Amino acid sequence: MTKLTMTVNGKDVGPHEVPDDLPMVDYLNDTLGLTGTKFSCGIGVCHACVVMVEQPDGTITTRRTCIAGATSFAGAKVTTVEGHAKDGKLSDVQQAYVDHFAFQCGYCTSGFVNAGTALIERLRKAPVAKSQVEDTVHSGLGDHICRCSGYVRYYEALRRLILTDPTLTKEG
Amino acid sequence: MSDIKPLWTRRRLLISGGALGLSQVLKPAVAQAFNPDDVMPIAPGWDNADGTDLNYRIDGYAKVTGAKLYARDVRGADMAGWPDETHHAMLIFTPHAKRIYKGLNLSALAADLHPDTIVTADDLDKAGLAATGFFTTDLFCKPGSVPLYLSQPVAMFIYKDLITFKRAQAALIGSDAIIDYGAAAPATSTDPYGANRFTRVQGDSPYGPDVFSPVKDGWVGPLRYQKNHSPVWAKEDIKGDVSQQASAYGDQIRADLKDGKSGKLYTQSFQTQSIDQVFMEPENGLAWYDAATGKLSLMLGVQSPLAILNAVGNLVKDAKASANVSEVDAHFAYIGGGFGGKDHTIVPLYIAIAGLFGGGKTVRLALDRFNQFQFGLKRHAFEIETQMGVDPDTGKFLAFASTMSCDGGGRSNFSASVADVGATAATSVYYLPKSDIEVTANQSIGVTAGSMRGYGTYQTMTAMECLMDEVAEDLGKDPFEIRRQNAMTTGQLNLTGNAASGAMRTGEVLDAMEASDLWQNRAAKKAAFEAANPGKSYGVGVACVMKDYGTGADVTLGSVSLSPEGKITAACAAIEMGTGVSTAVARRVSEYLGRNADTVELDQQDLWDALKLETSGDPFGISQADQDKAQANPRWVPAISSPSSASIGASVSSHGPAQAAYIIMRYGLWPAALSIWSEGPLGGEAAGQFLTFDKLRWVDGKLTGAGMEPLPLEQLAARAHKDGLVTGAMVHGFNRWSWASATFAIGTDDLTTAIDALAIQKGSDDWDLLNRKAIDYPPAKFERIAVNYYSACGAVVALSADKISGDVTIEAVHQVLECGNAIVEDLVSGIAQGGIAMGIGHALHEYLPPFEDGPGDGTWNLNRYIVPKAGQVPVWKTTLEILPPLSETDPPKGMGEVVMIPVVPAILNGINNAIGARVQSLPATPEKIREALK
Repeated sequence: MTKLTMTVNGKDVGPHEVPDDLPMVDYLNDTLGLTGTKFSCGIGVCHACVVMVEQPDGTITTRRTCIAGATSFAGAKVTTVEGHAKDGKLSDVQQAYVDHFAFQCGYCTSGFVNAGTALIERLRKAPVAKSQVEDTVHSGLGDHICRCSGYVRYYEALRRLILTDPTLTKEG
Repeated sequence: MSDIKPLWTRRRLLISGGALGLSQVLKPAVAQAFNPDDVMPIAPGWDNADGTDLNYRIDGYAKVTGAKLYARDVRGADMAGWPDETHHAMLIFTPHAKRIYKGLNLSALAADLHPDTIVTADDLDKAGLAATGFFTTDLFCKPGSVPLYLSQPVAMFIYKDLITFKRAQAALIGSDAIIDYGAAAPATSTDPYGANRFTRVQGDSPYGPDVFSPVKDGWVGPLRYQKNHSPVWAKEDIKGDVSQQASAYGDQIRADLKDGKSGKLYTQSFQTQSIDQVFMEPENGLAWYDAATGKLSLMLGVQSPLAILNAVGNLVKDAKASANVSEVDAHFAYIGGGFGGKDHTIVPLYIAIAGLFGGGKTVRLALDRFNQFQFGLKRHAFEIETQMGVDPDTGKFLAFASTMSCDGGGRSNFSASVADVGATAATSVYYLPKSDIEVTANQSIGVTAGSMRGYGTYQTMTAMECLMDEVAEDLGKDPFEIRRQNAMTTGQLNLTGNAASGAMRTGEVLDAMEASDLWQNRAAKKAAFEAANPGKSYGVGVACVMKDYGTGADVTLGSVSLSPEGKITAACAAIEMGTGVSTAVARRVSEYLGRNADTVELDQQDLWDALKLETSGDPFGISQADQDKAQANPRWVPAISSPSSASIGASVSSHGPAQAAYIIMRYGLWPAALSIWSEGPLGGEAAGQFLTFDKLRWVDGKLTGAGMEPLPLEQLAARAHKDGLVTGAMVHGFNRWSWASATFAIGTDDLTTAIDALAIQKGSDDWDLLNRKAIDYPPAKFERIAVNYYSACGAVVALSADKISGDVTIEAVHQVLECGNAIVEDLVSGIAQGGIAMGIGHALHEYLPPFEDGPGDGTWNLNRYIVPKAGQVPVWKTTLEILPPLSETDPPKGMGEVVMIPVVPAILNGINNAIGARVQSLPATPEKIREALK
């Protein structure tokens, strides 16, 4: 057992006595009551369970919570899908997804929100050439499974978001 | 601006004296509901300021912010009135069906992982619990028996502690070490779940009357089954009964094909595979049994709430004291994907059992993905043997005969129905003057197969579209030419001898496909691609299908109310599967009320009480005499509700709210407008005009017409309330390949419309239930028509095949869809794009071995079952063309299923175009491509 503390969606949580083999998705769902992070395959393939983690240098990465123990997030700054909208206002990525009717059943959406947001944050620090945007979108979302949408609208949403924000791209 | 709160559905079943009657369903309840307002943010900004357009789907905000929508999100502490403490249950499945099951042996499980409670077949017997009716089966294998099928549960483990549960669950993945087996034993083998023969011989005209057909003469089943379970059809006798006639006509069709009397003979052997639904939310639910009150409370995520509620009622109807349930109170959440696999699933029965053995606590049974593969409903694998006769000179199809079977697995579900639907769709969009199809739904020891998007037609139409290409190639005809030549035209009869409802627009679909860039420029694209990609062959394939939608017993329940302030509340009885039915309902009422609904509720438990609906009999099998007798009761309807599916959200579910909105418009807003426009001593602005209802138009959210001052809904609503006009309507509608229609007296007017029950509100009065003055139900025999509602869809697929590895890459897809009036085009195109991806998976990747090496062994997950990711879908090169409706009054057509079908045969035809060889067994794996290339 580990006394676990971390920051989730800007709030300190814990300490909680957590066994070392408790998956992070279960910690989020059952200990913190944050059920927006979805369990689907349980073996790290579908990426529905992805959350964002802020690294010490401020960069944003994603992690799969169904194959990562909660204790491996000790001290981390974690953002789940519940942490994106502020005061009822959707984040840019969330807004882009709803505007494009990107999802249907929505069960995979939280993973796409986190992956899309991490990608945008990456581009803020390292813009890509406009000609590379489509490949860049795929690099951010390509590991995720969605059974309803065929991915087209997720991809189009993120492409438009990137191309309409001049800070995310450079000429080329 | 709207204030939309997508609500969970809730239903309640009261059980008295052990008897279960449909008339007892849908009683009002006063139990506290889970309050989604507590956890679900209001959806701001889904539509525009005046409600005349939409910005995104109603549930978009909730879904993109991770709100609790799905059953999997809920624990006991979330449910008002339930025990906070949640225990956890798992099912123990056996991967064997050819050995005696002796019992459990927990010594193989660490002692600290032993469950707190074990439930077995013996426990169910003692408690008097049994699955009956549609779900009749042994819920748990009994010691000393051979498991009925691979994955049959042998026990349920319940844990008080989540951590212990999780560890035990992890320890048991892919392992049956805790199960003791005895000697090898013969597998269970039973007669098929069903078989039918569909034989049709055209008369003088393709438009009818036929010499012989299922619609004209009745359906034909086998006399009996042989020892090997193959069907025995009646001895042929052209003057005998319908079965004998079918054999006579059918055998003659086959003999003529064989003897060359029906043109050039083409034969085809085609196989489709078993497939997992892979909805993203594995099945799960919560249950709580309060022994003190006898109430069993459930939280579920299924497509068929009423069927599940009744199944749970049947489960407990003979229960003994330990499970003496007097009431079932069920909540039905949004579902994280369904595709048919959450329709009539048996998992909720196990969830109910978990509650009944849960010691008064909330118990959660949530399948993990391994469990879902092991136990969830699968798509039926088909074996298809077809003969088709074609006039080699004209290319016209002359006769079609096919013998097909599907594997339903080890537990009866919808196999017989899937087989029939597949069989009656076998000739796809084409007209055949003679046809004979024998279809059998077989039992096996495989994991149970059930409903899945396409429902048999994906299998049979894929085969037909590949055969079509083969014929075209052999006769040297253009694939579009031969398709146009044989496509059914409006009024021609289908395989069962029935005409399709509405105009056949297949020709337009084919025209649009042919005009596509992928087809028109295929030669140049091929040359360029192959020059740039040595070792790869480029090909283009086409396919066009039409998919029926509806079941023959579809129900719509709709309610619309208008507040004095002009706020619109709409409701319908449907489950939100993700297709956007709640959004479609909000939009569809705007057709009559000028703007979107402000609030949409999905089926709430006491919502429909005002209709006091009663039912009896089986809507699929009721006799005409019984229907005639029952319909004399103005409260009687053939069915109270029906399951949700991807293709009836727009066509059926939104029909009720649209009808209700029309009634408010006709008997509320229209007289209110007339009253306002006529104000003044000389008749106001209306003087000098002959105003009629049909001249009314909504313009920019205001009602006008014939030059009258546009009136906002708020003003009209206020007047309607003030004058006691109709401000609310609640309807029930029934469709058996035609809508039932009834006449109701509203004021001095008689309204005849496509509903069979109606209650209205005037002003702020309570609901006033109206007796129908006349009722016209579709004849009982229409159930046997099989299908007549169709939407058409075609696909042009460009692909490349690696000549060494056999890998196939989908380079681009252009799809053409005809779906009547698309209520929300963004939703329609999104569903179509998803269908394309699913079709790619089915064509190239997805496969489950049927028996011992298959999912029943508990080792399958997404690491070895390949669902297309974006890299396998031409995300940036997928285009969709939706044909415009013929007019603004075209009904919306069901399209959720048809859009995943044509891409599959188009891929197979494209592979042939690329490598010059056909793959006749799905999926077209690299191994099969390499073999074909030899």
